[in-house]
Amino acid sequence: MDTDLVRQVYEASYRRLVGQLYGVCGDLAEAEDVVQEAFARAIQHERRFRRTDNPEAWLRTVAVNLSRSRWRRRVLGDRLQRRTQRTEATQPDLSPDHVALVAALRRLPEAQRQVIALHHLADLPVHEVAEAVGAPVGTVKARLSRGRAALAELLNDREEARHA
Amino acid sequence: MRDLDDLLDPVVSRRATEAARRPDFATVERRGRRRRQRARAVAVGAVVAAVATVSIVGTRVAQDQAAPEPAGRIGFEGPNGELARAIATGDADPYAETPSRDGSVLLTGWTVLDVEAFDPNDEDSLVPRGGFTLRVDGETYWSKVYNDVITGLTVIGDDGYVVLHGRKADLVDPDGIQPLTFRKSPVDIADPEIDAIVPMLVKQGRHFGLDRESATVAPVAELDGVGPTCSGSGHGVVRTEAGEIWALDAGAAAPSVVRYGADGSTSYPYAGGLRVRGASLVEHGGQVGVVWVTPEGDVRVSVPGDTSEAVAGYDYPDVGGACSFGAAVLPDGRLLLLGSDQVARSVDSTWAEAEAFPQAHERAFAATGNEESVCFDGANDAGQPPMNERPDLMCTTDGLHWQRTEIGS
Repeated sequence: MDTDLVRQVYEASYRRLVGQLYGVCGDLAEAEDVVQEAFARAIQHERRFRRTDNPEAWLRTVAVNLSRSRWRRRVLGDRLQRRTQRTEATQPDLSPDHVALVAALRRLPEAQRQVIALHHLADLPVHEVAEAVGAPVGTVKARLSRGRAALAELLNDREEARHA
Repeated sequence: MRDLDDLLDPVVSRRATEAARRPDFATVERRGRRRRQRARAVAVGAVVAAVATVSIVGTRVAQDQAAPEPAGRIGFEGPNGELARAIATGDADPYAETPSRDGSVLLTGWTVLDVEAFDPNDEDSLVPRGGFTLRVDGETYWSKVYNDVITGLTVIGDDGYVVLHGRKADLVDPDGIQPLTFRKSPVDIADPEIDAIVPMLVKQGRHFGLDRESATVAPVAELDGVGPTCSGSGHGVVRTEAGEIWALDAGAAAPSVVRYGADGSTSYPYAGGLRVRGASLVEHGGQVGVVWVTPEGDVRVSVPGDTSEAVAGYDYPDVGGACSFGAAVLPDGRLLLLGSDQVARSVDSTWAEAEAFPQAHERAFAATGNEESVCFDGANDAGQPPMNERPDLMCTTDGLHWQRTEIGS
C-alpha cells in the first residue's frame, strides 16, 4: 500500500491539527488521539484520501466527527454505573485565564464548543469551520454568536464565585 | 479575568500545537492497517455467516431428533448479529468479563451504546442496552442485544454463568441461553437443591439460590443485606465445595461473618464483629479467609481455627487502596492481594505469612480465581476502566508475572 501521501501530510499537519482539535476536545491527550485516529482512517481509506482536494481539511472533518462521538460516549459513560470518576484533563502550558476558558468551553453544548474552538482558537475562517462540522455557514455564525454569549456568562459566573 | 475578546486568542491552539506529542508514523500506520484488516474480517464474517446458517439449521434438526432442548432455551447469534456488529464498529463497550472456574470459557458482558442517537441535553435519548459474548476454545458466541444493560455476571460451576440483564436473569453455558424463572417464596439456605448463590444488586442486593435443573431462582432470606464492605470490591458470600456458605454481613454496625453449615447449623467465627474499613472473603479448597483492612490501614487475614470460636489472624503488608483491593487465591493455594501500591503474596497455602512485591501494572479489582490462574479486571491509574479503550483482563499463575488479555479478542 502506498502511504507516502499520508506520511507527508502527517509530517506537515499533525501538530497543527492537534492544536486545532485541542479546543474542541478540551484535553490535549484526547486531541492527540482523535488526530492519530483520523490518520489511521486515512490509511484505512487511502484511495479515497488520495482523491480529496484538501487532505488536511478531510482529516480535520474526520477528527471533529470522532471527537463528537467520543465526547458523547464520555458523557454517556459517566452516567453509567462504572465510570463515576474522571481523570484530570491534560493541558498544554497555558495562563490561568486560558485554562479557565478551556474549562468553560467544555461546558458549552457540543455544537457551540466546536465552532468557537475552530474559529476563535484555531483561527479558521467561517467557511472552513462550516466544512469541518458539516453545517451551513449561516448556522455556524449563529452558533458562534450564541456560543460567545454562553461562554461570557460561564466565565462571569466563575469570576463572581471567585470574588464571593 | 481578561476580556472574552482577548481570551479568544489563537495562542491556545499554538500552545497545544507546540505541546503535541507526535508518535512515529509507523505507529499510526499500524493502527490504520489493523483497522483495515478488521473491516475486511467483518465483511468476510458476514458472508461466512450467511453460509453457516444452512449448516446450523441442519445441525439443529438433528439435535432436536436426538435430544430436545429444554423448553424456553434460546440459541446464540452469529457473527452478523446485532451485538457482533456493534462490537466490530465500536458501538459496544465491555462491562466486565470473567473466566469460568476451569478457565476454559470466557464470558464478557457488553453495554451497547447508540452514540449517534445520544443527545447530551436530552436524558430521554440515553437508552443503553446490553448483551454478552461467550468464548470457548477460540470460538465466540454472541447473545442477542437485550433492551436492558447487563448488571451482573456470576460463575456457576465449571462452565456456566448467570447473566443479569435489568431485572431478569439467564443461565448461560456453551449449549445456549436458558431464561430463569424467579420464585417469590424463599428457599432454605441449607436446601440441597441449591446449585449456587447469585447476588443481585438490582433486587435490593438480595441473594438468590439457583436450581439449575428447574431453571429457577428463589431468594435466600438468611443472606439479605450481606455483601462486601466496599462496593464492587471482593466477595461477600462464598460457598465451599462441601456446601458451607460463608457470608460477610457488612450491614451491621460492626461487620460480622456468618458460617452456614450444610447440616443447617449456624455459627459466628468472629463473635463481636470486625472493626474494618474494607473486607472481602476468599475461599480455596474449603478453607475460607477474611481479608480486612482496619480503620488505621493495617491489613489482616483471618482464618477460622479448630473450633467455631477460634480465629487465627495474620498481619499482611499494606498493599494500598484501603477499601478497594483485589483478593484471590492462586492455583497453588497461595493468597494474593492486589492494591494500588503493591502486591502481597502468602508464602504458602496456610496464608500465615506474606511477602510484598512492587506493583508492575495498573490498578485492578474484581478478582476471579480458577484452577489455571487468577484474573483481574484492568483499570487505569485512577482506578477506573480506561476511557475510550477496552479494559483488559490481566491474569497470573504466580502473582508476579501477568498476561494481558484484551476483552473481546
